[in-house]
Amino acid sequence: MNKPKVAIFDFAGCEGCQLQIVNMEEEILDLISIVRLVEWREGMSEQSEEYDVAIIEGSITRPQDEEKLRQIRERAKILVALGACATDGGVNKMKNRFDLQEVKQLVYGADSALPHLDSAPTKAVDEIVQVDHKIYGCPIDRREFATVVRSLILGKRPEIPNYPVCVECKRRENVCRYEYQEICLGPITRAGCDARCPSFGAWCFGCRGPVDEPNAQAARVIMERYGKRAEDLEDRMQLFGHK
Amino acid sequence: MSARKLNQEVFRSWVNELIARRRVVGVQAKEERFVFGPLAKAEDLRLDYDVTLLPPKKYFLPPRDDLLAFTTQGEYASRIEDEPFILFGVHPYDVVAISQLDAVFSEGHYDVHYMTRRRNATIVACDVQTASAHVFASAMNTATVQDGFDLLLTKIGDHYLADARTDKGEALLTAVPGGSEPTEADFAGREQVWRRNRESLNKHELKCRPEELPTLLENSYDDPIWEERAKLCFSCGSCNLVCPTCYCFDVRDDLNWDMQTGMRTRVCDACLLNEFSAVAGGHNFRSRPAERYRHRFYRKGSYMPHKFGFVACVGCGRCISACVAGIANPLDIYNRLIAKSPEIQAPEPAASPWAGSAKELREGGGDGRSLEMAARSGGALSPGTGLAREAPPLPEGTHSEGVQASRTIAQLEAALPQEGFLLPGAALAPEGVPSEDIYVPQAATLVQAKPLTELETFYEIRLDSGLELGHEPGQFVEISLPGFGEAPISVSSSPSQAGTFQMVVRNAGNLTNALGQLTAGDRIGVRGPFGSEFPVHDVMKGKDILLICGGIGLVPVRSAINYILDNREDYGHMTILYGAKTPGERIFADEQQDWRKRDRVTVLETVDEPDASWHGHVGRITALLPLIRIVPENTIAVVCGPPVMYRFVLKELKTMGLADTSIYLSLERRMKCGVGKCGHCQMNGVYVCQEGPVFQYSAIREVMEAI
Amino acid sequence: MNKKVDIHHITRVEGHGNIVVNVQSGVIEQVEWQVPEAPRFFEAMVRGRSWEDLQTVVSRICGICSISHSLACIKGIESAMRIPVSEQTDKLRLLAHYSEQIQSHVLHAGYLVAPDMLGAKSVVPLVQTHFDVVKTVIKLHRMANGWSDLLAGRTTHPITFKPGGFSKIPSETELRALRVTLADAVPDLTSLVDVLASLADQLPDFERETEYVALVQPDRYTFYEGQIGSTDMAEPTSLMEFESVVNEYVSPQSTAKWARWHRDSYAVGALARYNLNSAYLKPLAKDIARTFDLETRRHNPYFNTLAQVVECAHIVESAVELIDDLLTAGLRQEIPHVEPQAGEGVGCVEAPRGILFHRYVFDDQGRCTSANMSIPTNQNHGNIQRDMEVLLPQIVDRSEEEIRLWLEMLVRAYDPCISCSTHYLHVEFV
Repeated sequence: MNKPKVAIFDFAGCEGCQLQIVNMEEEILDLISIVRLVEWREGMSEQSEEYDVAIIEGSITRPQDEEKLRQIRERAKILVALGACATDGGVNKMKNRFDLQEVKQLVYGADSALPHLDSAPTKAVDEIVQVDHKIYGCPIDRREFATVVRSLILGKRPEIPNYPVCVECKRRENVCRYEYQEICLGPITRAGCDARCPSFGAWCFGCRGPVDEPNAQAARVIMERYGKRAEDLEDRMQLFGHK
Repeated sequence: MSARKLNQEVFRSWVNELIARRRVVGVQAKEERFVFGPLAKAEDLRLDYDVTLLPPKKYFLPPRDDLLAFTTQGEYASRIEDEPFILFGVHPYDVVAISQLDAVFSEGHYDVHYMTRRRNATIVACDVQTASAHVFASAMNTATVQDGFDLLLTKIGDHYLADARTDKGEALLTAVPGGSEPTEADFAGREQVWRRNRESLNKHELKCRPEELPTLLENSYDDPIWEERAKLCFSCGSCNLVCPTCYCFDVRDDLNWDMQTGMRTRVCDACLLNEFSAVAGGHNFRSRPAERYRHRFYRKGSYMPHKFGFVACVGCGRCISACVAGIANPLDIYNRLIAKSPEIQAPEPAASPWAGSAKELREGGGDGRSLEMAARSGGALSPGTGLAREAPPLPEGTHSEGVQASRTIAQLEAALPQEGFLLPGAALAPEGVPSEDIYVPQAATLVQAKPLTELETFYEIRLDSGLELGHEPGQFVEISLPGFGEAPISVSSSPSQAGTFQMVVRNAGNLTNALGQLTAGDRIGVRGPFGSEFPVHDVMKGKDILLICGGIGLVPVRSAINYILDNREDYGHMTILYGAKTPGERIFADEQQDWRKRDRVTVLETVDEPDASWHGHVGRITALLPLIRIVPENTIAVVCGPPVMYRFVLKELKTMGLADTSIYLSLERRMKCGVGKCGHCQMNGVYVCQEGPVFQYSAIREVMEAI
Repeated sequence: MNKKVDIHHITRVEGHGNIVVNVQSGVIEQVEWQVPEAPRFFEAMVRGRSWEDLQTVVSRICGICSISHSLACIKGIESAMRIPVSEQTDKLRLLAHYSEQIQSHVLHAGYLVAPDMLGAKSVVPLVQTHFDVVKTVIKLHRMANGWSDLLAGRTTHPITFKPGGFSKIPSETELRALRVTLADAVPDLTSLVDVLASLADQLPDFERETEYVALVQPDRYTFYEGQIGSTDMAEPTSLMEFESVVNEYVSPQSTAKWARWHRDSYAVGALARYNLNSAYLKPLAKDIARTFDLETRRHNPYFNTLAQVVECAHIVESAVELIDDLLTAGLRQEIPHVEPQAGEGVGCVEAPRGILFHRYVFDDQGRCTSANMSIPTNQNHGNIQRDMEVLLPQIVDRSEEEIRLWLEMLVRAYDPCISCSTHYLHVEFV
C-alpha cells in the first residue's frame, strides 16, 4: 500500500490534541502502518515539505502564522483542523472580547510595546484557508481521531455527528445536569465526545462547538425554568467560542 | 404455574442464587436516580425504585449494537448475542413497551438480533412500589400488567408475592427452595396493590381514552401547537432516546486499523434529530423542528396504533423528565388538542382502568368493572391490552400487515424446545423461529460499470449465487460496500432481463462516491429486492401508459419501460416524458432513441438549462404535458423525479382528467434498513421501504408528508 | 573556524523554541535560547470568568500539565474563598496529580529523550530497533493515562476537579483495580530503568551547580502541597510570596522574561525536587537513584530526565499507600457546595517540569478580577541560557552536528513546556 504522507503542524494552543495522538498508545503503531508521518515537531525530528494530509492544531494569532498556514494549505491535498483551537478558535478566542492593546499591557506591562509582542485577534483555521475536515473537541477524542484517519484513508468523508451532546448523554444514561440546576451546553453542542463531561458529573462546556442549527434562543429562554440568567449561559458559551 | 410468598430473607437468598447461576440485570441506584445494570448482589437491587433513567429496552436494542462483521473482500458474518439473562424488576408499563417492541421486530422481516436477545431474556416484572414524578401509567392502562413477562413480583407488606406465568418463570421460582404457599389474603393484598397502582400512577391526566388518540390526531395536523412548542425544541432527541417504545436506529460501518475488516453497527437514532430524514443528495424531508416534533406525537398516538394496534406510549413519563425545554409531555399536547376537539369526550370521572387481561378476566380477578370497560374500549388500542388484539380498520390507502403477521414471544416460545433454566444459551435457531439475518447482504459482482454522465454511473450486476434477483419493476435494493455502509438503489433493468440486473447511481454521498470508483469484476453486497412495484401485472395491462420522469427519476421507471417493451402486446400506447436539468445530465439518451423506434411509443424530452448543443424543448417537465393527448379513463400515469416535481405534475394530470387512482408515484426517502424497522423512510405513518416506493396516488393523497 | 547553529523550532519538546549559536573564528559571538511560541494572554482572558469556569479555562494553558494547572487553579480558588476541603478530596487529588507526573515523565523520558540516547530521530524507528523498550514505554504510558482517566475523567484537561471536591469519584472497586495495575507496573518500570541505566553514560558529562527551587514539606517528597524551598535557603518561603521568588525580569540579551531569586537564574523540575527532597524518597526510588548514581550527578541538568524516572518509582510506591489509606477509610460521596465570595488566593503544585504558581482575585460574585501565573518553564529559561553559556565553550571544538545535538538535548532535558509559558514572547531571529 502506498501510504499517504501526513504532517502535523501546531499553532497557538496547548498541544493537548497532539498529545491525544500520543495517547493512542499501541494504536500509534497501527496508525503508522497506514500513514507515513513525515513531520511532527512534537514527536520527531524529521521535517518535510511534501505531504498529502496536513493536520493543523491550534488557532492563528499572528500575521506570520497566517502566511505559514497558507503555505501548508498550498502543499496539502487534504487539510484537517484538529481540535477546538483550530476548528473554532477555542479558548484563545476569549482574547478577542478584550481590547488587544489593553490585553498586552496587562500581561507584559511596560514591555508590551515591543514589536515582537505583536498579536492579532484569534482566528480559527477556516477563517484563513479552506478546511476539508474538522475534528472537534478540547481536547479531541482519540477514538474519533482514529475513525477520521481511517475514513480518510478509505476515501470516505468522516461521519461527524451533527446532533447535540444530549444524544450521547442519554445513551450513557447520565442524570441530566439540569436536574442539578446547572447550566449545561449539551443541548446546543455537537456530539462526538460520548458525553464525556456529563458522564463524569460535570456540565458540558461546549468544547466541540455548536451543532449546525443550534437552538440558542431556546437555550436562553429555558434559563428561567432553572432559575438561571441568560447572561450566565452566554458566559459559558463564550469559553470555547460559541456565539 | 405456581406462586410463592417470599419473606425478605428468602427473597434475598433467592436473588443471590439466581445471580450465582445466570447473568442477572436489575434495578440499582445511580446518584439520585435508578438504572438497570448488571447485578452483583441482592442487596444492590432496588425494587422500590420509581423509574429508571433508560428503559430496559437497552438489553434488547443496545445503544450500540454490532450487527455484522465484514471484510473488505465482501464477506459478512452475522453477530448474534446469544446469552440467557434475567431482567429483574421490570415495571408493568415497561413490560407493555417490551411487548410492543416484540411486535415491531418480529413482524414482517424478523429481526434475529433483537429477537435472540429477547428470547434469551427471562423477565421478572415487579409491580410499582413508588410512583415517579411524571408517571401516567394509570391514564395509559399500563399500571398493571398480566402478560408479556415470565414472573411477577408484588410487594405486599414485608413479603413478595412471586407469581410465575410461564415455564421460564416457573423454572426461576423453583430454582431455590423456600418461601411459603400464598394464601387468599395474599392474592387479595395483590388486588389491592393493583387497584392502588391503577389509580395512583397518575401524575398526569389524559382527558380522553387512549384509543381515541388516533381520532383526535386526525384533525390536529395543522394545529398551531406544533410550531409554538417546537420553538423551544433543541432537536436533541432526548424524548426518543429515553422512550421505551421508540426503536428507530441508524447503521454505520467502522473499519479496523488493518483496513480489511470492520463492523456494521446499529445505533439508537431519534426522529427529533435534524438529519433523521435527510437523504444523501441533501434533501431533508423533515427539515423543520416543528415537523419532527409533531411526528413523534403522531407516531405514538396515530401511526403506531394504525400499524400495530396499540398506542405507543405507556405512560412511563421518562420523556417529561428528560426534556430540558419541558415540551415533551404527550398528555399536555393531547389534552390541549382535546380542549379544541368537541367530538372527543373526557372519560368518566375516576374511571378505573379497563384493560386487565384476558386471563385476569377469565379467572375473575381484577375489579368488577374490568370486563365492562374492556368491552367498551373496543379492545384494540390501549397499550395495556398487549399484542394479540385485532388491529382497527386502517385509513383508506394505507396497507399494513397489521399484528396478524407478528409473532408474539409466547408463540415463539411455543416453538422452542423446553429449555431448562440452567441450560446454557438458548439454541440460536430452534425450529419454527427464523434464523436468517435480514441485515446480511448477499455477494454480487459488477459485470459492467460505465459512466453515464458526469455524476451518474451505470452498473450491471450479477449475484454470485447465480440466482436471479427476482425483482419487479419499481423495486429497490440495498447496496452494501464494506466500510461505507448501505444505500437504497432503484433497480433499473426489466425483470425480463435474465442473469443480471442494472442500476444507475448518482454520486451523492460516501457510498455512492465509493461505488463510482469500482470497475467490472469488483464485488458489492446486495440486499433485497424491497418495496412495492409498478402494477405492470394487473392495473397497467391493456392501458395506455404515461411515464413522467425528471432527472434520475427515469432510473426505476426504465425498469417498467423495458418490461412493457418486452411484453409490448399487453399494453396500449406508451408515452415517456423526460426532463433533465441540462443536456449533459440526460441519462439513457441512446436508449431513448431505441424506445422511439418501437411500436406505439412517444418520447418527449425537455431541459431546464439548454446549451448550444440542445435543439429540443426547453423548460420544466410540466411544459411537455400540453403537447400530448391522453384518454384519461384508459391511461395509467407513473411519476418519478426530484421531490419538487410531484406537486406540479399532479396538478397538471388532474386538469387532464386523470383519476388519482390512475396515477402511480415512485418516491424517494431515506430507506436505511429496507425492512421496515429503522424508521427513517417514514412519511407520516407510511414506511416507504415497505409500502412504497411505488404508491397509487389515491392511497397517499392524505399522507401529508408524501408530496 | 565559523560555526552557525540555528535550530528553528527544536523538535520533541512541548511548544516552540529556538537555539541560535554563532561562532566566528572560534569566538562565541552569540548563544541564545529563544522562545517564539505565540503568546496567548491567559491572565487577561480569565478576567470576568466565573469561579465555576476558571479551571476549565486555565487547564488549557497546557495539554501536558493540565492536571497541575487545574489543581493550582482549584487550590487558588479555595484559598481565595476559604473553601474547606476534606482529607479524602486531598488524597484523591494527589492520586490524580501523581498520574500526571507519570504520564508526563514517561512521555518525556520514553518518547522524547530515549530516541537521543538510542541514536534515533524519533520513537518511530525504535519500533524496529528497540521494540521491547517501546512496548514498555507504551505500557507505562497507557497505565498512567488510564489512571488519569479514572481520577480526572480524562488524561488531558481534567473534568472532575471542582472547588471544594470532585464532581465524580471512582468506586472502591475501581481503586482496587488501579492498585493492581500499579503493582503490575513496577517490573516495567525497573526494566525501563535497566535500559536507561545502561545508556546513562551517553548523557553529556556536564555540571553547573545552580539554585534549585521546589515545593518542600517536612517529612515527605512533596508534589501537591508545602512551601517554597531553595537549595540556597535554610528556611522555606510562603506560597503567598511567590512573586518575590520568581522575580520576573527582562533580560538585556533576550526579550523573554526570565526568573531569578538568589542568583541570576534557578532551576525547577525533577532534579530540583530531588536535590531538595531526596531524603524522603521511597525505597525503590532510592535504589533507582543509586543505580543512576544520581547523587554525584545532581548538578548535571541532563540527569533531570533520570530524576524523573526516580520520581516515577517513588510515585508508584506512594500511590499504592495512598490507595490503601483511601480504601481503609472507605470512600464517601461528598457533594461540594460553594458560596462564592470575594478574596485573593494562591494555588501551588509541582507540575512535572517544576513548581507552578497561580494567583487569583475574585469579586463577591466569584468573578475573577485578576490573575497571575508563574510557569515552571518560564522559571527554567534563564537557567537553560546560563547552562548554554557555560556548556558551549567546553564543546566549541566539536562538530556543528555534535554541538547541535548537545544543545538540543540540554533543552529537552529540562522538559520544557513552552505552551505553558504564557508570559513568553515572540522573537525575531538572525
